[in-house]
Amino acid sequence: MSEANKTPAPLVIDARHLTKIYGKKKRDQKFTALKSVSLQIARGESVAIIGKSGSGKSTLMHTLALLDRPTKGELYFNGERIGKLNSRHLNRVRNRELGFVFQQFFMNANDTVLNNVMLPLRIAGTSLFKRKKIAMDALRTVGLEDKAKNKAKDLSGGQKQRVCIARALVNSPSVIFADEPTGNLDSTTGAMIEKTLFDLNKEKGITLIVVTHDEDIAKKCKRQVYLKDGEIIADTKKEVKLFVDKDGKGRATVKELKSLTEPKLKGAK
Amino acid sequence: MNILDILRMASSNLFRNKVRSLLTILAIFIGSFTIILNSGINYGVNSYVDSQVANVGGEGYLEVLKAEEGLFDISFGGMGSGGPTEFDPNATPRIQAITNDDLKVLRSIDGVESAIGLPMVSAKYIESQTSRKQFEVSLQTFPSSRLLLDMATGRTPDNNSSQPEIILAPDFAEALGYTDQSVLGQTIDLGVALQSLAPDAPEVIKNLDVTVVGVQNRSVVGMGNSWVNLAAANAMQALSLSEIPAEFRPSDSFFFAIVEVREGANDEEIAQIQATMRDKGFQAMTIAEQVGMIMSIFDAIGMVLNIFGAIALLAASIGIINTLFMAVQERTKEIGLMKAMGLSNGKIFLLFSAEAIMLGFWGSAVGILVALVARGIGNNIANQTFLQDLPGFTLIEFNAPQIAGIVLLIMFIAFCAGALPARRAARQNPIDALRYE
Ligand SMILES: Nc1ncnc2c1ncn2[C@@H]1O[C@H](COP(=O)(O)OP(=O)(O)O)[C@@H](O)[C@H]1O
Ligand SMILES: [Mg+2]
Repeated sequence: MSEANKTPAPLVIDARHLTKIYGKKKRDQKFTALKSVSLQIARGESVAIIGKSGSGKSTLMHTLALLDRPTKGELYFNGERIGKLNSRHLNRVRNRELGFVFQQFFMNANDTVLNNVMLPLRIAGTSLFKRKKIAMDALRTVGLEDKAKNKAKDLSGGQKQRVCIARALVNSPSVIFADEPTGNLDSTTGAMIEKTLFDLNKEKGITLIVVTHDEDIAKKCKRQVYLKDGEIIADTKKEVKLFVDKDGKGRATVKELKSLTEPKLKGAK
Repeated sequence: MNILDILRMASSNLFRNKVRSLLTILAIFIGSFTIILNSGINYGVNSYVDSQVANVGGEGYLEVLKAEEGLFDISFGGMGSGGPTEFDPNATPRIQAITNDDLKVLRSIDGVESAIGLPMVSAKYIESQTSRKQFEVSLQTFPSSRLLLDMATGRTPDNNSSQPEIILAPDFAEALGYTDQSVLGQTIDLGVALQSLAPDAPEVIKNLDVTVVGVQNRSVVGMGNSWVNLAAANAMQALSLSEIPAEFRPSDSFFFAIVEVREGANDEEIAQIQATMRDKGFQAMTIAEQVGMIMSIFDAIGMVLNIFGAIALLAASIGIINTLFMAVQERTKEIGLMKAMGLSNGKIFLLFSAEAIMLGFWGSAVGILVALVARGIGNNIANQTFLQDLPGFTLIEFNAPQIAGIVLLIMFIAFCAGALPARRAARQNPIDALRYE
């Protein structure tokens, strides 16, 4: 399938020259985690953000997911300039448009699975009756409807992550962000989680942004964005020639660029 | 998130750490219980004083001593604050007898209608003329027709009558062999000891006939005394001095005087009269002030209890602050997650504030329950001991608006205590919270 033959999908995320510098206070050590990163993501895409640990993947994801503000640069979400939104509007976008899956599950371990899944709906102020129904639907999607009444802590790791996916789904978001979603899982359960996520992308058309250092997961996404030291060094959606070495000389092929992340990835395998 | 959900969530968060919540509630309970109980005592005492003062009519006359300022206070307050006073041979006595000249001075004061000296009376016994049984009795001269006693039957003594009259303290009618009804109009004897100039003379007691005109209910006014009218008081005094040659009898003087003020004088005018008397070296008190003074012992207890309650609540507030800071710490990730999911800072603040307010609510609810139990027990004990002679005096009485006010106040204090941790939770950055290890 060739991208060129399709009408371009509208942009969900349009990031322009995002820079993130950690260390707000004067005496703090300054650290530039993102250096003028630009990234456009269209509706329905599945994008992997790949890079070594410390390359700024999470920082980029948090910024794109409106969890953190960039130090410099502009971010548009569904065409709206984020910096200009009031906090009420921002909370609304977070609640209605975004879903999160983290490496750590962030669940209320003593609460039931159903209550955990309902949390975003609760925040949205959905009625109890409706939120139960929607949450059960989401649990069905991840194949855990029979665990609804169980305590979250009684589930296995893979089940917990599926509950997290159900929770991310429940507000029918337009984008799901997954930060190392299989990082805490063995490869078999990891594969199942990946499948669940990619199915959502294919069947429901939810834009999927996966942060990972695992080349195998990255491959399953249609598009890969390579990050190194806070800069995008390759983006498979664009022509390779757009990307240049740091010093502005020579051009790199995707293969060459991949090799930049290779040592770590090899080691991880 | 709607308010109901916030409350529900706050409540289940409290349950999540039962032991910690219970301990905090316990601390609040100690403070709230003390304050609720104290307000109950306060209310009980005040409504009793009010009912008594309303009963006695009160403001129409003053009891007047010729004494230094503050003497009433000293006599009720025990030692006073300074300890023993050094003897000064040149000092005027702290209390002086009231003479007929003093009475004239009192009568001359603007607003004073009458002033009489009130003879002190005492009898060795009271005796039934039918059964001849004798009982110890404590007597008082009836001060003024304006004193409205709480009567079981009959009327108050008439100071204008030339007939000696008496009204009996509760239980005396029965002891003397009558009922409260049948004793009315009966003549009974008071045993008066005759004074003698001879130091070793054997004591001689003579009977004085007095007519019973009424029986009093138990009350803090009178406190178990029987009251005689002026005619009886004078007759008793005359009788007790009858063996003393006229030239040796003491001149007319009184321990205190009764001053009736102009009919319908208001509180302000009475206060004015009291001030004038003070300037002239007299101390004047209304009956309400006297009753209030007896009751001031309860005020002192109340003050101590209130201070204790306030300290307990202060400690409890620190407990709330601590509990919530721990909760914020523990739930950092949860807060971050909920913020990431679009929960506003204001709602996070509400969530933790609601927890604090609930702690306050439960603490005071337990306080009310235990105070209810304490009321039953406390009133029982009080009625069987020190309030035995004061029926109608319920030591601890609760009134709903007052208790509701206390509960609201405690919930408000809890809210204030929770504000700091709640603010910290609300201000957390979702990312810092999610990255928090
Ligand atoms: N709050 C912070 N303060 C200072 N430095 C930070 C903070 N968060 C992340 N960093 C630094 O920014 C860099 C990128 O971090 P991160 O985005 O988590 O990388 P990745 O997810 O790719 O491992 C790292 O060097 C990290 O130490
Ligand atoms: Mg990371």
